[in-house]
Amino acid sequence: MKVSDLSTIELVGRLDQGTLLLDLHPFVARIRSDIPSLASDIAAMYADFEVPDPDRFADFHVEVSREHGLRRWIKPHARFYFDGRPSFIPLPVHQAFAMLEWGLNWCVAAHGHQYLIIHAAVIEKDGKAAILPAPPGSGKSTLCAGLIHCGWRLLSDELGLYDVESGLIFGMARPVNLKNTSLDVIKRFVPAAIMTEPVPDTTKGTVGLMRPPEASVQQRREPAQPTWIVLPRYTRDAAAMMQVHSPAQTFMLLADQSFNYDVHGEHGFKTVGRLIDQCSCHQFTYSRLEDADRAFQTLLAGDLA
Amino acid sequence: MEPGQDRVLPQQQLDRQNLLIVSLRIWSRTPLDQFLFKEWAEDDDVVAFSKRSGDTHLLSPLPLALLALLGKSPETSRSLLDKLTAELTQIEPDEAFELIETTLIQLQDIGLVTHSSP
Amino acid sequence: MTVRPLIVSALLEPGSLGKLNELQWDLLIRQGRRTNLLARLAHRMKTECMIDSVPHAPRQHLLSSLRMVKRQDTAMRWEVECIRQALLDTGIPIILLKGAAYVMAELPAAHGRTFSDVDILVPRNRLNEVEDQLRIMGWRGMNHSAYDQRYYRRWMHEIPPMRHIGRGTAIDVHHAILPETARIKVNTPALLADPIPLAEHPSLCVLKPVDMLLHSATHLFHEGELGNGLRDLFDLDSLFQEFGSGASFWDELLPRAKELGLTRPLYYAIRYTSSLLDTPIPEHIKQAAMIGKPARPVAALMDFCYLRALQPSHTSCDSTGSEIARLALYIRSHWIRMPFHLLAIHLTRKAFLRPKLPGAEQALNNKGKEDG
Repeated sequence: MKVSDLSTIELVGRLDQGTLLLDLHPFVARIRSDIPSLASDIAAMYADFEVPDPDRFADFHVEVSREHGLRRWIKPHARFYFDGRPSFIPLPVHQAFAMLEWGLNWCVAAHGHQYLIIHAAVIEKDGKAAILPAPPGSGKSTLCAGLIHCGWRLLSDELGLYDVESGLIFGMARPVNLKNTSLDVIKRFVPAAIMTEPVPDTTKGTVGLMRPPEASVQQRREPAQPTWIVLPRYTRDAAAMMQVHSPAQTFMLLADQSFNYDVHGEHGFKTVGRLIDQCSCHQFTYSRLEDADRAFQTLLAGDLA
Repeated sequence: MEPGQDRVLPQQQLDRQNLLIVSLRIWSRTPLDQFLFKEWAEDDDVVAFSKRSGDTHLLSPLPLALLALLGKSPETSRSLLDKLTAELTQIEPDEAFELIETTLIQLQDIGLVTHSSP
Repeated sequence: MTVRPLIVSALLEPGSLGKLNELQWDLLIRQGRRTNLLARLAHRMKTECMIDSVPHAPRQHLLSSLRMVKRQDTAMRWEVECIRQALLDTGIPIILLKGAAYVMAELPAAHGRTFSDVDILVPRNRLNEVEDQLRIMGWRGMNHSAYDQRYYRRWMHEIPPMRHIGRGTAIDVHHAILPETARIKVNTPALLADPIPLAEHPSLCVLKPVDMLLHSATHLFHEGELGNGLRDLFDLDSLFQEFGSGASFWDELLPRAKELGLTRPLYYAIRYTSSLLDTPIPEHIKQAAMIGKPARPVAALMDFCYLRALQPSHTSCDSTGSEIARLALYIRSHWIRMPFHLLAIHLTRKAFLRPKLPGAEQALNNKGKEDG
């Protein structure tokens, strides 16, 4: 059964009871909420995701609900709860869905140590994955959101799950997080993209979430072979340029951009080493998504040659 | 111990003492089996993992050269400067000396080198 | 008495877990996380070759927890080594306490345990030297107000915590195991007289077995925030079982408790490990430990409080009175550390401080903000 098979009433009811489970392969989340707008956002953004039975094991119990006590009436704020304990600061209720997304990212990053969890976008074509690690200001999300509408499959826009045993990378194909100008850029590039209402005044500016392409959601259980590591560098008005990058520097960047590199210790060092060995390392300067499309096609072709 | 009294040390005094002491040190390399290294043919830099501390470090050509020299025999920072004169032509000798000493202290903090006093 | 929580049953009888359904595994993992006992369970199951038969999804969490503690074990050993080197030239014997001691003495209590700060115990008359040397080697006092500085140095059994500027790790330097103002007067000189040096590094010591147990008990039963209470109780269980296999331990325990003035915490330790965790304690020891039992109304009140507060602080384990019990113990912990007139000032002061985000979540919050 998928989210789209549930009526609004059923969805709201399950959220209220805390009996909505969401299959976010390789994880399952149990979600509770008393905020009706959250139900409609989940219906829109997670339409193609499966809903396991409520008697199944869930990796994370999360809740996004209104604050308790007097504040509830004066200035309604929502709070994220992990297994009943509040985390993060309260935020205005209209940011509830964004808060759920950030909260779920935290759950995975803080607990999923069977993987090396890389803060990166991951996209795939012909079984090959391009990993786009995400230091600030890189324009990673815009690039990712654009390319997944040019024939690339979305694995993730935030969390690359590198499986050490197999050397393959997984993603959950969850909604893509966009902010500020990238919202406008993507709306122009992909007029048909389904997005939440823009949420202004978050700590990141105006934020919007884009529904993942249905094909990506359906294929999300399939991992991909890491083939390229591309550091995006959005630079206003720049011509597109794909350059080779130092493997050692890429190593340090990946280690820095992995949430749990440190947890893996010696094993983590060997894992990132293996990942670098599997891939060619690049830095990509760009300003237009059309250029990015061509550049990544070249990358793909170059690898086949 | 007086109630509420902050304990303050003469930092400048310590710094001056430190500089004097550093230049007299005899440096040697620690056993490399406590580290894991990874290098790539096309890269001058090397990454290193300390098994004892769990920390990861990026080593650029200068620290690598120092480690290579110390792998042959213990040296003072003066003798290391002499051996690297050909490679360090771009920098003034005083600056080069300071750079070598700073790098040695960083390598010591990482655990790759130690020193003894004469 | 409340029903035994799943995490406790699991730890006492890992063999019984074969019958769990998915919802029960779900609850077990969550209780394990909340109590910081997940890795202890994982370690036990791995050692007894049971972990491969755990269903895939919960097994990942057990294995993840083992990765975490393995990393923390490495970090702890390194930190102890840095401290050892920093203080070597002072010639002062440094007594490691709690987690650091369990790790360096290779005790089973260290298995599956998470660690944060390092706690050390030094003679009071050498405290300044130790603090000075730590500062030279890169530790700094954390941003404490003048009030906190005075509070610590005047009343507490430790100096304000210091943090290393390079590594970001924290050290607590104690000169006693309880504040001077505490109701119980600990015979600190006797405690400091007999530490056991570590074979490989004699400048580092640990307390001898009876002292280590008594210290652990004293710490737990003076603690106000019992989020790790059950974990600490399992530490005691582990110490009792490890040391209890040697005959001289039981013979020394009561006399030493009397000598140090710690018969009250010993009574609580024996009472609550045996009733909640079935820790095997010889009957004659239980009887002898009754000298530490408080007057009947107090004993009943402590039972009410501890039997609730030592349950996992998880909604699945809450019962009537859980919250009151925790609050009562919180207040008691301050009461037994400090005279009333100072307590009122201190608690009023604390009430005005802003709450902080847990560290890890703050880091992830910030990382999320940086996204391009």
